[in-house]
Amino acid sequence: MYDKRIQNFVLPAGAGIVLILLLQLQVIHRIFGISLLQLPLPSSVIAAFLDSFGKIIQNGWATLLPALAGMIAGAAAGYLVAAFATVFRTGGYGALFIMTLVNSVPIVALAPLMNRWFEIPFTAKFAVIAVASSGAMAVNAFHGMNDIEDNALQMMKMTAATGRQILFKLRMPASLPNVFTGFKVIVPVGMLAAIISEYFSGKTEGLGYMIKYCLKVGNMKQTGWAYILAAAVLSLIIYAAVCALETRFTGWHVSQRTK
Amino acid sequence: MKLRKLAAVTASFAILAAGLAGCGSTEETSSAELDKLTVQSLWVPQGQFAGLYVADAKGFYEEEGIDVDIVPGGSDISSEDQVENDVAQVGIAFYSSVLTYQEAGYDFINVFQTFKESPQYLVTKKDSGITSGADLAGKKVGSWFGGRQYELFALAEENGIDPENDIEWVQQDYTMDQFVNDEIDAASAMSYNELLLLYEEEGFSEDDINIINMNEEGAALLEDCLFVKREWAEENRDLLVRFLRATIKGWQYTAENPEEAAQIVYDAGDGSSTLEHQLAMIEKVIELVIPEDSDAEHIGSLDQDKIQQTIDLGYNTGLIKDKIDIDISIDDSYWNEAVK
Amino acid sequence: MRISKKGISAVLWTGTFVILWEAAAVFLHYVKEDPMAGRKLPLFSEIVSSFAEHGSSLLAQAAVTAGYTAAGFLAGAAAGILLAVVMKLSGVVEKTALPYILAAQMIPILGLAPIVFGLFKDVTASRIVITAYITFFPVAVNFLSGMKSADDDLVQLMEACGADKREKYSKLLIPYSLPYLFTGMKLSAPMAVSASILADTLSARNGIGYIIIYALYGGGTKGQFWPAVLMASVMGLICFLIISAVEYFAVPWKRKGGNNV
Repeated sequence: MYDKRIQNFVLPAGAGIVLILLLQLQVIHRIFGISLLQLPLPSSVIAAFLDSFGKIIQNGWATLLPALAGMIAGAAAGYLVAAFATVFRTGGYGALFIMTLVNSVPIVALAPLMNRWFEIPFTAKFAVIAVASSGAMAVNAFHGMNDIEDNALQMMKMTAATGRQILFKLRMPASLPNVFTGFKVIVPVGMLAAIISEYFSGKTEGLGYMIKYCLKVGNMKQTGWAYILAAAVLSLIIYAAVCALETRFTGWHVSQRTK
Repeated sequence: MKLRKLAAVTASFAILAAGLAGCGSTEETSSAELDKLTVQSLWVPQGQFAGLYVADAKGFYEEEGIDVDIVPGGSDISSEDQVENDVAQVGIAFYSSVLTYQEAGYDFINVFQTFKESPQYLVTKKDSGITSGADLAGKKVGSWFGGRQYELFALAEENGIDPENDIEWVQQDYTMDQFVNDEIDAASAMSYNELLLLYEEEGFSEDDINIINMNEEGAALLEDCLFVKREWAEENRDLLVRFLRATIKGWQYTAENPEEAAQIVYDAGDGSSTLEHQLAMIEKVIELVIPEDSDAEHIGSLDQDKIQQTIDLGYNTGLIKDKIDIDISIDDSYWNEAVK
Repeated sequence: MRISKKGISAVLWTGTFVILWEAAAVFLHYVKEDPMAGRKLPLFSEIVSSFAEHGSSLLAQAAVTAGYTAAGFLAGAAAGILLAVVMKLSGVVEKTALPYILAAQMIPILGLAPIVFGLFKDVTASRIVITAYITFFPVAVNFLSGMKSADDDLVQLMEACGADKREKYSKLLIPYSLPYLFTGMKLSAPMAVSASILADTLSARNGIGYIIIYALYGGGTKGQFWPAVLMASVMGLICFLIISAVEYFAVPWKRKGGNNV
């Protein structure tokens, strides 16, 4: 157990140090022919990060709140559609169909559209993130609810379980691992949706707003990358939280076994 | 076995993808004697860049022995990065934006100042009572940001208003909806696009709105210009001069034949806009390319005073941290040679 | 039989969706008399007639986007599969690389574009690479969790029978995780459409994304905006259905309960 923890920490940290060194020594820049101006050195990004730390925290919050709320709401909506499509096997299929349709509206179109629907910038952002997040959960949860062992299903049916009991006692618990897989996909998708929606958002705050603000101005690119770094750190924290919850709640599942 | 199959499938996907990538890049080959030149535009084909599209369509570039490819811009790339990456040799960008890249270390020179005046307006509704920069304190003002905010900062500072604290900034998306809906008191509008759209599509007339003009307020930052890498220009002096000569001709032709120019730009845009809008845009753009105090002989010339004003205002508003030496920032020898 | 029933269900739902849309639009237009109604939610019938007007040019642009989508998706899915297999083969790689892959997903196109263009110096290749970049993550995550979900007893049984690593993967892990792979691809195929549309806006020469930003910039949601958005949605749905159809034939043992989407 002790070894495992060291491994879990040392490996990514070590890789991080190597990666930072490769960037700092411009090895990656040389291999790919990237100019320093376009991908600034880690030292200057970190300097910019520390320099505007207060503003990064402030803008990070402004993104985090709608992002979390949107991801959770989108996931909930996706889950409901999956359950609906499972219970009403043929009749509900169309719900997944419509969800995919809505989910496929590109964010560049969705973001300005939501600005029109909702005058409050928070709500508009929230809506974009929720729509973008819903599909990943719907498809994964539907998979989980329907990927049931025959024996278990026969057993439930033999004991005269109602459709509702099968849903709540068998399908929903069984879909939990897939729900977590869904969340793992949602984290980057939702965060990126949050960032892009902030390109268009009326409110002058958020990581996405600052990324656009800085990255388009030639002499502020390091600051822009500092905000990208902040978005990356934020999504890693959320992802780690998802993994922790996964271990806590699906410890029984084979994917969580450690040899 | 299956794993090997998987590897084979994976490899074939990659080859297929690479093949598809290859398909797109085989563009029509031109006659061998023409010099190839790629221009990175700032946006989709529209009247704003009419001079170049006209020079291309009327064969002015070909007469100078150049095969020009005008690559449209987009929302997620910058012309400066495209030129730095050698994707294009000539870039169209705001001069105020080029300055920030120069400061960051990109070795560019401005060789052709297309717009001699700033098209950036702030528009307000008539009943708002906001008629000049001095009225903006405490108001909600819309900006596109991403570098576009500094001209408005300059406007505020010219009027003794602290842009950080005395103005409530609102980010505008690409539309004028926030203005129409009264969500903002003053909206950014380009004289050649958003202002026209207010008239064409939103039912406004000139009597309904006040216009705050950056040129009159002394807050103008220069916008559309042609820039190149200094090193490339030195090595390709003759090509650049010929390119500029044909471009000037293109703009002159545009000024004399706006209808035909509108048709050319409309066709270049694959009919995604309307002919009327392109014509209206060209008429406004000509006012910027050949303002009243200039003439068709001086299209693209680099006016030292206005360029210095852009550098000074950029410095005052924090757009750039140091005053760049004008002789490093621009090089008018190419333009001078082109009009000889 | 089941397919056709599903088809009927889809048609009914789509019909209901359109009717609800039209009702909401009529409400906005004529009851609430919202001056922005045409931009918030135009009458569906108007979109259809606008589609009829611009249909041919839209289809041509859709074909462009579809080409990039296909290339980007294939490259992205291949990369995702490869990555998942490598991560399953080596827990060290998974622990080491996954955080950075996730972090790299946070680089928006605005930051990525100069790097990708610097690498390829070509708009076409850059568009494909960016589409693939956005596509591969869901495939990798789903495929990996599929391989992890294989019944441990079976794995041990195979090991006890002396199966080597390659047999273990080809006979058990990969077949077992195929449904997961398809779930990942059903997610990422529509995403590839959005990604390719996003990449269209890089250097807006053609594609659905080009139509969308042009329509946005040149006068709000007028003209081709709504038909283009509708087109994007339908393309996403078609991709979803194509993957579903492939799954139907590739994973026949899961077909039984009609559980596949």
